[in-house]
Amino acid sequence: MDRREAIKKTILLTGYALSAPTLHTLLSSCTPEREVNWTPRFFDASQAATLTHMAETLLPRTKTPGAIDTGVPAFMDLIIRDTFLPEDQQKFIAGLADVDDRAVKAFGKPFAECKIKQQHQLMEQIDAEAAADGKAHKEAVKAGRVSRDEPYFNFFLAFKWLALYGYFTSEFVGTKVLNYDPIPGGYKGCIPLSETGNRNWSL
Amino acid sequence: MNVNTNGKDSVTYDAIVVGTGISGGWAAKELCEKGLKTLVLERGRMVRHGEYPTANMDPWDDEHRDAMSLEELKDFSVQNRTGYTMRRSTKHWWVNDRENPYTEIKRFDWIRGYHVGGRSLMWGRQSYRLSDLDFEANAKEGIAIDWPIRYADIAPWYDYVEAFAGISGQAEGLPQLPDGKFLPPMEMNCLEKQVKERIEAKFPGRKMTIGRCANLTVPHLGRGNCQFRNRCIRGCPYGAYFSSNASTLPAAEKTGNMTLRPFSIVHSIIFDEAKNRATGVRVIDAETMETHEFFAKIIFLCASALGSTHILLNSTSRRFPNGFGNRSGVLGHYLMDHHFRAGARGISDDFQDRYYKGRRPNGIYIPRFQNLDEASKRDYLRGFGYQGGASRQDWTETIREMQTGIGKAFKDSLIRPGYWEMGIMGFGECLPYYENKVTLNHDIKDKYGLPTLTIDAEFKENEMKMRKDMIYFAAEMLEAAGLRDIETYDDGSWPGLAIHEMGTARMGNDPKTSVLNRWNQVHESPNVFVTDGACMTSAACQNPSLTYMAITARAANYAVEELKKLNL
Repeated sequence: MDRREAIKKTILLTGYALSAPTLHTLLSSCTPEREVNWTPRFFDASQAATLTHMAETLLPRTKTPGAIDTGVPAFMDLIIRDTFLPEDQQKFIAGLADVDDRAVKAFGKPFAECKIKQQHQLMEQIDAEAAADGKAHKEAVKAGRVSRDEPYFNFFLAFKWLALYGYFTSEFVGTKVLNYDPIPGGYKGCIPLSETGNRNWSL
Repeated sequence: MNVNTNGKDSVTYDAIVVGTGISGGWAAKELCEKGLKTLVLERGRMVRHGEYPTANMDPWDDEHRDAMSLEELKDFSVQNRTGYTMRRSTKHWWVNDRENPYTEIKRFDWIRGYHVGGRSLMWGRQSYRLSDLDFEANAKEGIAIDWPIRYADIAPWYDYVEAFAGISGQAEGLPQLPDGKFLPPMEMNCLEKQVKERIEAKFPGRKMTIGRCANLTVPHLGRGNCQFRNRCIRGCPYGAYFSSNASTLPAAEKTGNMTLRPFSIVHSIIFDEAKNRATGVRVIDAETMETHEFFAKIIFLCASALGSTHILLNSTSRRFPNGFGNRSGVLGHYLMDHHFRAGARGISDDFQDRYYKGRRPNGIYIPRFQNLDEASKRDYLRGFGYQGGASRQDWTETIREMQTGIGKAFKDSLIRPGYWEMGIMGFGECLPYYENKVTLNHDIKDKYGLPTLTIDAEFKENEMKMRKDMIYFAAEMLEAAGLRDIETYDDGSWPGLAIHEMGTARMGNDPKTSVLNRWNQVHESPNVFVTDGACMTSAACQNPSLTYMAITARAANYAVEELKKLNL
């Protein structure tokens, strides 16, 4: 058990309520940024490294935890193993390989070994391409050029969706970053946004 | 609870109720409260109120964050077609499709839950009255056959069931959507209020109201009020929405007159040729596979539209070679469901500094405004209402709209609420068609040796024309309400998907063209009542469960009166 895990476990066991900033300081003090701190169950080590760095590039640690802090890459690995169709799993693996190829072409190194700035730059490109592709597909379906039943899979859109899903349904984000109110008890349809600290509800 | 797991103990009762869902729960309550020793049969397992294992589960409590694995989904190929019912937090409520096969001639999504409480645990809780616009439509238009009842027949029974079930809503005084005995309405949010004002100002005759729903806004008859967690589908520990488990079955149990027998699959109705009457039911015990016979003076079939019709079709005898009470030949025909999933959504730039608190398990409703009179006449018959609501966007919006964004600023932006958006979706009536039908399939038997159902149904031209209007009017109203980037959609609708399947043993005045009379008695065997969705002569466009409650309570009252008069 690493120190980070130990701290989390201790908090759980003692029920000791740490404020978000305190916990963040504890967690961030020992983990070097962008390290694969989980054991893949589906991907190989190199794929896991690419995935981890991509997830952290999408959702980097700021004053709130990042993708690695919140276990997003490990969650994605599990979900892709258990819920993706085999053909989509293969497309996802091919997508990771493509990201590495593009990183090598642009910066001479696989994605996980690129500088943070380079990673961000490349991901922005891929993000723009994926959004354009997805929107073109949506238009094509709407215009009747492509059947709604035709399977559509875009690696990066799938990556982004899964990463955000993992992040926003993680316990830390769900209870400490967003407004967590498991039993609201009533409904108020129009309150000042400031009452929620300008943050979304968690559930 | 008096749970009879040994069929030999007692085989004779005053009444037998088949099914424990919305209708069966009501039949059980009414018959028991009127003093009848009642055997209540449920094909699935026992679920006591409070036995809702996932009611307090947060997303992170599950390693898969509520997503079903491909392996798990193999058992739920049909149940998963809704897109919203199959989650790890809800999968215990839905039937295993591999163990419960049926045959689809055309796509029909048969969404079921086999356990005590049935779909009353997972239902959408929208509760609307039918009106004479609905009860008179068939006769006025020359479609199918006339309903044998009118609003005045059922209105007091709507009052009666609403007072017990607890329906929150706002009285509006609309003839096409009669008001009920409402608990205080839930609140609309900022954008909904604005959209309501603007729609009603621009389109006289159209109204937007808060959804009328079976969620308690105040404590009611020992049940707690809604906590606005929006986890109803998992079962409510507060009993804050109407379910058989939280409401009718405990009331039936309290009388001491109910014997509830889970794992009891009704094979058929026993018809005694000598006595010329139904005397009981044959039951297969789902655990032991043994067959039992139970006897009673009256039998209430409340096994769901297709469940009850399955039993009737399988109850053959010399007297009823084509199914119980089926001399008319219409048993199994005129299957209906609502069609939906067409509408529009749009975005508002207003109320950026406003938000809401609580997860309201209810939306807004725009009652039907088409074909009410000459002025609102359309190029199709009947009409539709809209359900919908407004909320502020969250991270899912960036995915749905495929917005770009990477890194710190993007991540921080997702923590703040996005724009307000509002969507409305039509729920439309489907006409009763003879050729939309279910039949017994003796070639494919289920694991209890019972023939399975073959379902052959489709939406037709009238429904398709209506869908164009669902989109057109939705966009028109959202635009008039000042929303931007209005997106229309028709995501396709197949019978079954609305989980409002109904008809197949319709009510009518004439035994030659209907299975049930105006009191839901089988014309040819008056001590057998069918009071679930099977009895519907037309579908209307309102969510139907409240009508099943009222029809069941009315029929149970009549049955007991007739028993007292020695007429049954």
